[in-house]
Amino acid sequence: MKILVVDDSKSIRSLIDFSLDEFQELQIVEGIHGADALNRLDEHDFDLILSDVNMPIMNGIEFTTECRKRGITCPILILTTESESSMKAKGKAAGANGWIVKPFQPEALIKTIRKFIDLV
Amino acid sequence: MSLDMAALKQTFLEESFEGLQIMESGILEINIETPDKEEINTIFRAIHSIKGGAGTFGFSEIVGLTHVFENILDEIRNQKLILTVEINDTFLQSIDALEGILVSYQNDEEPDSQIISVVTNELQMITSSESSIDDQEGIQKQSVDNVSIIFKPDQDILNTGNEPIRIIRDLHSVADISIDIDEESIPTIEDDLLKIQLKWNIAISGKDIDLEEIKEPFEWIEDECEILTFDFVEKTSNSSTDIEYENNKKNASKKESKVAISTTMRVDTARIDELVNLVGELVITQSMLSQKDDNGQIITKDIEDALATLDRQMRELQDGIISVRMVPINSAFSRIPRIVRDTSKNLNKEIILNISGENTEVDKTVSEKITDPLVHIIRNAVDHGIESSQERIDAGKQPNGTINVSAYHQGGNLMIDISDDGGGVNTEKVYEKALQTGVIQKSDNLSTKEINELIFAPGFSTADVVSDVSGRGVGMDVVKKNIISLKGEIELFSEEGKGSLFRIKLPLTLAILEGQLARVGDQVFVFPILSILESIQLKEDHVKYVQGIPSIYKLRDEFIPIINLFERFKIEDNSTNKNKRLLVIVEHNKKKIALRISELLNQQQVVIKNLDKNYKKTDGFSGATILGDGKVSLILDIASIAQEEHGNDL
Repeated sequence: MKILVVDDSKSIRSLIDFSLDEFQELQIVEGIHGADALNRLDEHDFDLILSDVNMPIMNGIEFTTECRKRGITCPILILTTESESSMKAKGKAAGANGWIVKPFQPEALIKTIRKFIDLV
Repeated sequence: MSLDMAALKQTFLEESFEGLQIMESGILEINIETPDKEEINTIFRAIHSIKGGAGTFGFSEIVGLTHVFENILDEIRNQKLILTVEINDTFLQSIDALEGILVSYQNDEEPDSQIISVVTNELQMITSSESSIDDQEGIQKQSVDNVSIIFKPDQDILNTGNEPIRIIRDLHSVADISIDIDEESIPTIEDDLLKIQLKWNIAISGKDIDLEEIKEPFEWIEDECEILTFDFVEKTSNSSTDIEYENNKKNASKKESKVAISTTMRVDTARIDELVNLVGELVITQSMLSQKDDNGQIITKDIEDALATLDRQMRELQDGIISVRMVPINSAFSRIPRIVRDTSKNLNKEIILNISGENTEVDKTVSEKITDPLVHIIRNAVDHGIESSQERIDAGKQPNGTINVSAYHQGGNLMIDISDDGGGVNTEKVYEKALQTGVIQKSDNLSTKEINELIFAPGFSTADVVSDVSGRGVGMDVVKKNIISLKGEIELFSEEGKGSLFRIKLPLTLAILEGQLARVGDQVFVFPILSILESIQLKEDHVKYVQGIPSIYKLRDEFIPIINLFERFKIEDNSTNKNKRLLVIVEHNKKKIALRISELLNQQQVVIKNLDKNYKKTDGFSGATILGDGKVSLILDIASIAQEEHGNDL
């Protein structure tokens, strides 16, 4: 099982990594922005993608659109704050399947991810 | 809290400090009349990350502040709000406040809640619209009884990352459902099974069902499915809350905050890769050296080659390791624009600041420790260096002054030049003040440059009025002391009426020293090569005796005090050939001394081991090193030896 985590903030990437640490069979690959994450797509097949929205170079919406354009069919969840509720619509239009609201607690993250893939 | 979580918080704090720096330089550089959208985006992203992380890592106190900050930037970005100098000022103030709060978090202290509310309130006053932080609470809540849903996803739903079964499961987790599949929708074996034709009938029975909760699982697939028939009786309740901001207007951000120094650093992976490569090569060399023939004898044939390779590799490894600690001087320079801006605004002066060479690399410790001296010199330049516009016009100069800061490498050192086109040092005034305070004697024959550099003497200040700006009880002597503690030097070139140039010379690294090995009796010492001017054969007729002790050496037209290292370090001089003694002429602070030794050995780079930590602080030595033969050799501290001779009169 592989998850791609895309966020320009190292602390958020590490927190996700840390939150999902208990799932032994889960492999986490990180991308520091959309453009970087696109390269990871060539290297792995992912079961789920978590992507921040506000990122330099290529933002999460552009990244999601590009993923769908490339025929990536796995669920894509965007990470946004409450105040960016407009991003929900944009994310949806771009092809995202859900959102994780920042700030999040590890339990909430796991719960949301569980809606899309089976964590063991 | 687990250790990992603490480490994550630390990462977040470091990231946030970087973010604040990005914001600050962004705000300082932004063109107020025509702000560039990308510039605002950069600032926005930084505060956005801080906000997101703050909530996540439990630093909830600053979420509100960062939220309002972000809103204002958003409004500016969408041209709902026009950027002004005042808004920019408030931004800078808020950044200071945030930095202070983050520092308290880092030190595990309670953040000052008053500052937070004051700054939040200031920001709040800029924005026209109400904070939208309470949007979510304002949504009307709908409760219903008995719902029935027909769920028919698009046939391509599986290609969009959604899976109907998970959505139904999700719905099941929030409500008690009964579900039927529409049998007619079940595909036959000939159908394309990846194209979903299925249709479900879902019934939820009960009272007071939260409609939002029911809708939520379908929220992201509204466009990819048909959801029909909601049978319900509507009930509404409104749960809107207003968030009140404390009205506590006071200039809060002025509070001095402790500077946060990070103990971790980021290193370019390319540099690490290089090191890994080198270590790989070393392993190969090692195996070359340990090759044995059939009789178990080491093959000596290739030893020379292998040793030469080893020598090269060790040097590369050393350079590589040092380069890991190298950072652009950038971080030390980043505070300068702010200082110039604030100070000049305070003093009503117009100053153009040019910075160049900010990517010049230097050891991380040097970069961190040079910041304070730099800031002090810059403050001084703005305060005392640059004249008021009127004075400048009267002197036939441009009304606005210029300060140039540049960094560059020269001969294995980092040089930082800080120049201004202000009034320069008033040599006469400095001379008089120095006489008055007894720093110099009338008989001292000093050049203009030497007089000017008296401003580095302890307790020396020529400012007529101790101003609010640079009169902070720290003089240029502290600047000089700090630079010397980094094994650096500072020089001042100044021309009255035209301006001054402070030139700082710093070593690139503090861990390695270019050393000259020298034997004194049976001991070997290390001289820092940078301080050696020359070495000469001691000629008896050039030695002047004072009370029977050889004290002064006449070298060309100069008289140089002699320090006999045999006596200084109580080493027995049992060499037979007294003529073969050498003098090493060293210089510290432009003053020369001659050190008597037995002979010079080779030159080599030595790794400095701290004496204080391993033994105790010892006068005359700055550290120790281990030589090729395994013996410990002490490194001479030329500065302290020179001070013993010349006294502390810099």
